[in-house]
Amino acid sequence: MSLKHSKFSGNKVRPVVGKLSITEEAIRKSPFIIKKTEQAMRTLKENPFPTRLSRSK
Amino acid sequence: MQKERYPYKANKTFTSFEFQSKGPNGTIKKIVDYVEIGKWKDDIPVYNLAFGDLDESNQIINDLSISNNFDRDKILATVAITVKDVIDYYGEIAIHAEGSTASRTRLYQMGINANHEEIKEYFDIYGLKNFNWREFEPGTNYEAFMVTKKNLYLN
Repeated sequence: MSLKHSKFSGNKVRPVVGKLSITEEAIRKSPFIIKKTEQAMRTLKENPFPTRLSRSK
Repeated sequence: MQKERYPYKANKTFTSFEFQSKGPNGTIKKIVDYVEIGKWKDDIPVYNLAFGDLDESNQIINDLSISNNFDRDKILATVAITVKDVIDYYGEIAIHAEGSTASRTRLYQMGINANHEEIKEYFDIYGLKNFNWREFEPGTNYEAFMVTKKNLYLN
C-alpha cells in the first residue's frame, strides 16, 4: 500500500482517513501493544492524578 | 507545528495512524496506536500512545527494533502531529506516553523537547517524576508523560 500525502488545509495538516495496512484488531492483539497497554495501566494506577498539579515554575 | 514530517494516514476512529519511514535501510511502516486505558481527573478518558514498526507478514506491531533510517526527528514530529489529531478529534481526553524501556522514554522526551515550542501552543504536558505528575519542563527527565488540550486543568 502506498500512502497518499496528508492533505493540507491552510496551515493545518490533516491525515488521509482510510484503511490501514493492519486492522485495529490485529494491532490490539500484538504482544507489544498488549504489553504497552498493561504497562501504562499499571503506571496510571500507581500514579493517579494528584489533587493538585505541581506547577514547576 | 511546522517541522518536517511524513505523510500519514488515520483509521476512521482516529485511534490508529500509519506512515512510512524512508531512508538508507529502506521503507519501514510505522504504526501509532491509541488505546483507552482508564480515567484521569474528572473522569477524563486516558488513551495510551503506543508506537512501533509494522511487521506486515505477521500482522503485528513490534518495538525495540532500531530502524536506523536517520529520520528520528521526522518520525517524532509525525508521531507528535497524531497526538494533536487525536485530541482534536476526541476533545477532553488525556494521552499517556511511556517508553517500553528507559531509552525509549528518553526518545519520547527528546521528541517533546524538540517540538516543545509548537506543542505548548496546543497542549499542556505533564511529566511523571518520583511518583508525582508535574508540568513538563524541558531538560528534566521523566518516567512517563501525559498530554491534554491546553488549559484543561491548570486554570
